[in-house]
Amino acid sequence: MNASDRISHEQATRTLPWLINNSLPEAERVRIYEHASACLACRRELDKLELLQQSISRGRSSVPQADMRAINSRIDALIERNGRGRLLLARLQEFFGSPWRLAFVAQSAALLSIAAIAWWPDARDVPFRTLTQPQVLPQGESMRAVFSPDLTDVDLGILLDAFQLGVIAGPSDRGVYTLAFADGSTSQEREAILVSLWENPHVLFAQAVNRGDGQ
Amino acid sequence: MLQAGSGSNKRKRADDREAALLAGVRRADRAAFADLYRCYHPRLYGYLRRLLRDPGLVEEVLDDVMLVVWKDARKFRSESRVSTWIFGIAYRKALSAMRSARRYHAPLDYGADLDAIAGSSAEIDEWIVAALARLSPDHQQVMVLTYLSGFSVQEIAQIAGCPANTVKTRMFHARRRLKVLLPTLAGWTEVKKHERQ
Repeated sequence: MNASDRISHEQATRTLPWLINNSLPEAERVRIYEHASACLACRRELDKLELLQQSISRGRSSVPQADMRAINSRIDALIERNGRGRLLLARLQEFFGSPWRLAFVAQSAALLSIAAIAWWPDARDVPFRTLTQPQVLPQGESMRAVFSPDLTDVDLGILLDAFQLGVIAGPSDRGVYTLAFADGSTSQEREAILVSLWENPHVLFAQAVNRGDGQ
Repeated sequence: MLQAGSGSNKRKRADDREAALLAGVRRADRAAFADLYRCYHPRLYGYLRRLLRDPGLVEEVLDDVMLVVWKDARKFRSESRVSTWIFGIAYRKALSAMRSARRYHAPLDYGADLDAIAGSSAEIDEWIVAALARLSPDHQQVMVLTYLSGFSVQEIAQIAGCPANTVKTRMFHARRRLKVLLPTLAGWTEVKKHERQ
């Protein structure tokens, strides 16, 4: 054995448990023995590990008789479950003649289902909302507005009352309010309200949306 | 001193027999499964009993393991030994049961058992069982797989699904922890013995 084959003390110490359980390859066994024969610490450690192995192994004698009743009933249940699935498949195959025909029918049914969902009137008319329009707006006229942060809640209430505006939603994360104009307001009145809001120093943004009357 | 391993032929025969039994299980042969069950029952029971201690739970986990063997026999690839594959299943089942047991049950009290100890080897066994129980699940597993089940580093790495160096590192830390725990337990036992006298 040359010097490069020698094993370090740390390597030997880490490998000792597998020398004890006889699972090391022959070459490695020889190298560890070579080291241990010259290393008192490793020999002492080997003695301790042998004691540890004997102690851990001693409990082997008290193994009860193998009882397969529980596992057999679990396997029976499993076979029955799988059997029912296979039986259903076999009956379908029998009905359709061949597995290929069954596969073709199943695929056609799946395609028809997808087509029916896609062309169903309700499916096409589903209203969608974007991130900038998270709420469904009511029918009629409404507007979006952003107010100055220094505007108090009381002043905001006074301002909205003055123009007969009602809060539908808001403020959003960016401070956007969705407001409803008064019922029965004309387009001229709504235009005048918007102009007044634009002139108000506490209103940073005001814009009508959802012109339901076709204007 | 230890003897060199000479049972490689015996081991090869055992491996071939187990592979043949598993091939039978793959064909849903109940007799082959019964043979494999009886062959593995003592090994798995000893392994699980060291880790879980509650005999009822041990039988339950053992059956869970063998049920997976029945269901997944087709998934076994002959790249590893049958024993490594079955113990890999047992490793994962035991780990999960150990974690649940730790979560839901109070730590075990070994005091009552230690009172009944008479002989010195039984006393050492008790210390070691108590010390093993105080190791982490991964460290307990590597100890039991090595000293009780006799697996090599590479086989334990396959069973645990980790690199061989990780196995060695776990064993190193487990041994270090045992060295701290055993004198403590020994000291405690001395006090108990003194009290009895």
